[in-house]
Amino acid sequence: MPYWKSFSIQATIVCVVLLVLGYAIHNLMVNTYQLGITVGFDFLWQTAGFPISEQWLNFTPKDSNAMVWLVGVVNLVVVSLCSCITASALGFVIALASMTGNRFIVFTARGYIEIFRNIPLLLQILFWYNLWINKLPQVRSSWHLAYAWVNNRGVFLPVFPVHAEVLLGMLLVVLLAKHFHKEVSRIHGFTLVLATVGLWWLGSALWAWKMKAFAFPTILGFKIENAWHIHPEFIGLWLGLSIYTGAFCAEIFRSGLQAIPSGQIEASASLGLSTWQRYTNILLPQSLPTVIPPLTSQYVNVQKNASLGVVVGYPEVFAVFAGTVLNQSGRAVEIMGITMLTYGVLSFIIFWLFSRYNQRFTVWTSTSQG
Amino acid sequence: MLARIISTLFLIISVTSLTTQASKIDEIKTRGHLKCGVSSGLPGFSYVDDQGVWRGFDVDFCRATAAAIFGDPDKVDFTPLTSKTRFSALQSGEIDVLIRNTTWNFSRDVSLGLGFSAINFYDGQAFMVPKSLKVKHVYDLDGASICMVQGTTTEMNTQQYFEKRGLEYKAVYFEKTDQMVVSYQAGRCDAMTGDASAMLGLKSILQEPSEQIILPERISKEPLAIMVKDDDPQWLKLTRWVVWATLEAEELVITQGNIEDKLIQPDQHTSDFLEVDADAARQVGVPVNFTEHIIRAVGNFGEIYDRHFGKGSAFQMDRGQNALWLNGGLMYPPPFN
Repeated sequence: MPYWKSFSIQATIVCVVLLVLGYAIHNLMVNTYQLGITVGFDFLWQTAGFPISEQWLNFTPKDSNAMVWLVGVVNLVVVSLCSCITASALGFVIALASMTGNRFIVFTARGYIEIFRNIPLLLQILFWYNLWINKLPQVRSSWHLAYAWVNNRGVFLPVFPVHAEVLLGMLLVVLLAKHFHKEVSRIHGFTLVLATVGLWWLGSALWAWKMKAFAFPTILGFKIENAWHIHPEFIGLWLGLSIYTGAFCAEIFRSGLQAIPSGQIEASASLGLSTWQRYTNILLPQSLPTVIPPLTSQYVNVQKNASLGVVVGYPEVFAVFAGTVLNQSGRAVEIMGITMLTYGVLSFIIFWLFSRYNQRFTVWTSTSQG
Repeated sequence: MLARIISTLFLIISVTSLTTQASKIDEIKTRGHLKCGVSSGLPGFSYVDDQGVWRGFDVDFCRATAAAIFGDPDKVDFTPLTSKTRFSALQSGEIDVLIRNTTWNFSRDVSLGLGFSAINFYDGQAFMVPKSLKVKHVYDLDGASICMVQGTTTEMNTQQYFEKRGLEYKAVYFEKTDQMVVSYQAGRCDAMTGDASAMLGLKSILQEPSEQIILPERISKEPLAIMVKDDDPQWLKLTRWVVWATLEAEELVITQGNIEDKLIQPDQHTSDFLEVDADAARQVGVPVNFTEHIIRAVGNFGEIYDRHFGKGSAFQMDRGQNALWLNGGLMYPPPFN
């Protein structure tokens, strides 16, 4: 196709899209003006006036509506991240199980996949949440598992002091090592950071144990103090998302592993590799290029499906920002716009990260095969 | 050239989208029924009974409005709405009138393009706790977990009450009342909060109503009012006078039962009420005897209240602030002359 022709087609499409968008915005402005609704973003800096119980940032009711958005986004990211990790792990195990020769194991794995991917996610979330709050004991008769308390208000874990500056120091050392040390530089940056954080956390716990700085849950009137509280709303949503998405992940992993030519398995067997070596060195790396694109879609789905947490009262961005703040301020257009943009940007970030990651594998497999 | 085409296009589009404003009442009459937004399920206010018929206090005011317009209380389409969707349903014209226990406050009144017409119920925020907690007052709930429905005035009132007294609490917000009740009953929360009338209604559907108490404090003013779009003042006024008609009827002791007798030899007040000024009635698009239609359809305010909250209901709730001004309440309808 000649250059001018493809250019004019594209230019026309761009014009049409812009015109439609322009009309939509114009229509919105005219109609809101006629209805006497004011459009503006000043409400973002007004005081929120309500507390959020589940939070990673230090949020108080005196903070602004913009902070509510941020707290909601962080809660969304936390539950999505946790669910993606557990769903992937669960999916992988189920995929392997469904490929073993053992009839009973295969039957169980297939049963799990067919049951959980065919039941609406909303029902599953409600099921786990209501199961938790109804079947677990009341606070006064909590289960004591090691030093943790488990009851229908959630899980209460002992707390210990951690030092962020120690973590920063450790990360600095690791990054320097990656830059200068030959052996270390071969390890993937993400793995290094994850290992460092884990080591720091474990180290802090051991140090606190030695110094007797651990604080254990105690009841004080209605309060449970000295505890890291994981709410049942989080648990219900997390279980629902993990188990539902796990079923899809299992099928993705299975298809990825089965896509590898059987010659590869036979070759590895004739080389005398163990089953472990076969999976970690031959099958898994080669399945990644087929597995990652559909897996990415699942991760994006998890992030979007997390908004169902609103039914069990999990305070992510859709519930607190597009729910409470919307009703307090009545700014439906602005708030829905911001919320849509938030989900859009988060989805885009996930796609972008994984397409970069996947590129490495695609290049690697095509060169290693070519 | 292109710029001119585009600007002409925009002009045409904006002119066509500026449709001429027909009056709301004409629109409803042409359609043949009233579209009324109500709560999706709140005992006492609005719920569907086992025959599939909408019942409740708010529902009766929808029927009264339909009766005023058509002379027939059944020409209503009910749209169940959550507290989150109620305002946009009204703004978009999906419903004509919102009668859904909505608190009248400043920001809602002035910034949504909507307006409140009249208060049909005076309410206040209350707390329900299990008797076993041995809590006597709201301020004894320091550190408690409290369940509430999100997207309501409840969240802010609770925060203000606890903050003022230097107390703490943990809020759990639910999208729907149903899940809040389930969670409260499972013991997820120590207390549950919402409008007093709603708490009373919910108490009746709990497994052991006698094991629950509603604490004496009312921590807020909740004047529940009817809401319509701002663009047609006559429509706003009509919805307002429908509420006042039920109150005036109670004041004149006109009931569903005695209205026939009252029509035979009415005194001056009664005849002013049962046959309003013809010119004025035409202005809002209803017949001169619209009040008669209302009373025949749903009865006076006292009858409506008794049916859903008072003696005729499971709640046995006193009139309290909702009594007529003659009896020490806040209900004071302007005169009908």
